[in-house]
Amino acid sequence: MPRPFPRFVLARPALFLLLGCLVGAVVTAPAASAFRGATKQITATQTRTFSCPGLDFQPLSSDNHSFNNGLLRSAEDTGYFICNAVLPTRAVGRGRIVSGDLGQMTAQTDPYVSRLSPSRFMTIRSITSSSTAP
Amino acid sequence: MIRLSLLPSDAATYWNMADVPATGTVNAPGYVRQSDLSINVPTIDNSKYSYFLQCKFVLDPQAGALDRLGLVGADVVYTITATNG
Repeated sequence: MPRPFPRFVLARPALFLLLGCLVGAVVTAPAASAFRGATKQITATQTRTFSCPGLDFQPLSSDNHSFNNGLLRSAEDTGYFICNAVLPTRAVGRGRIVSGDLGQMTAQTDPYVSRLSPSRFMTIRSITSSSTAP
Repeated sequence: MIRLSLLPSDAATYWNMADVPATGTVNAPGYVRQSDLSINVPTIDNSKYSYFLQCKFVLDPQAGALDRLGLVGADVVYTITATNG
């Protein structure tokens, strides 16, 4: 007559199952918590700013030439300079600020003029052919 | 600030979203920082449009030193919310 298995042997699968559940909970809990944090949506309106330094502005036309004036962008002739605006989709623009350095200019008749307002519905032709002060 | 369409129906079409007054000795000489708080079609949609900032230099090459005029930079302030951004 075979001997019956001791009680602790019969209970071992259940014990391992319970032990596995405990280990799994300990291991996966931090990962699950981090995942919840990553997908958490903002609950209030946030105001953010994108900025573009002057030296990142590049000539729109290859006919225009620019040079680095310290940390400023300067031009050798009339023309447009652009900088990519990296903004997230569905962001709502609130305003734009442009800074210019005309510190050495004093005479009111000085012909140097920075025209920071682009033409509406402009075309490439109007950009490259523009050469007169507004 | 310019919005450029990426859609085939009106590809390469530009829209002016915002602009600031001109600077210069006849306008606003010296270090100037100007802003425009009225943005046309202010919600960004990168799937249909690309966006860029633009500055036009108007120079008279007969007038002398070109380094009198310089651009410091530009920035865009925007908001995002849980449902919009």
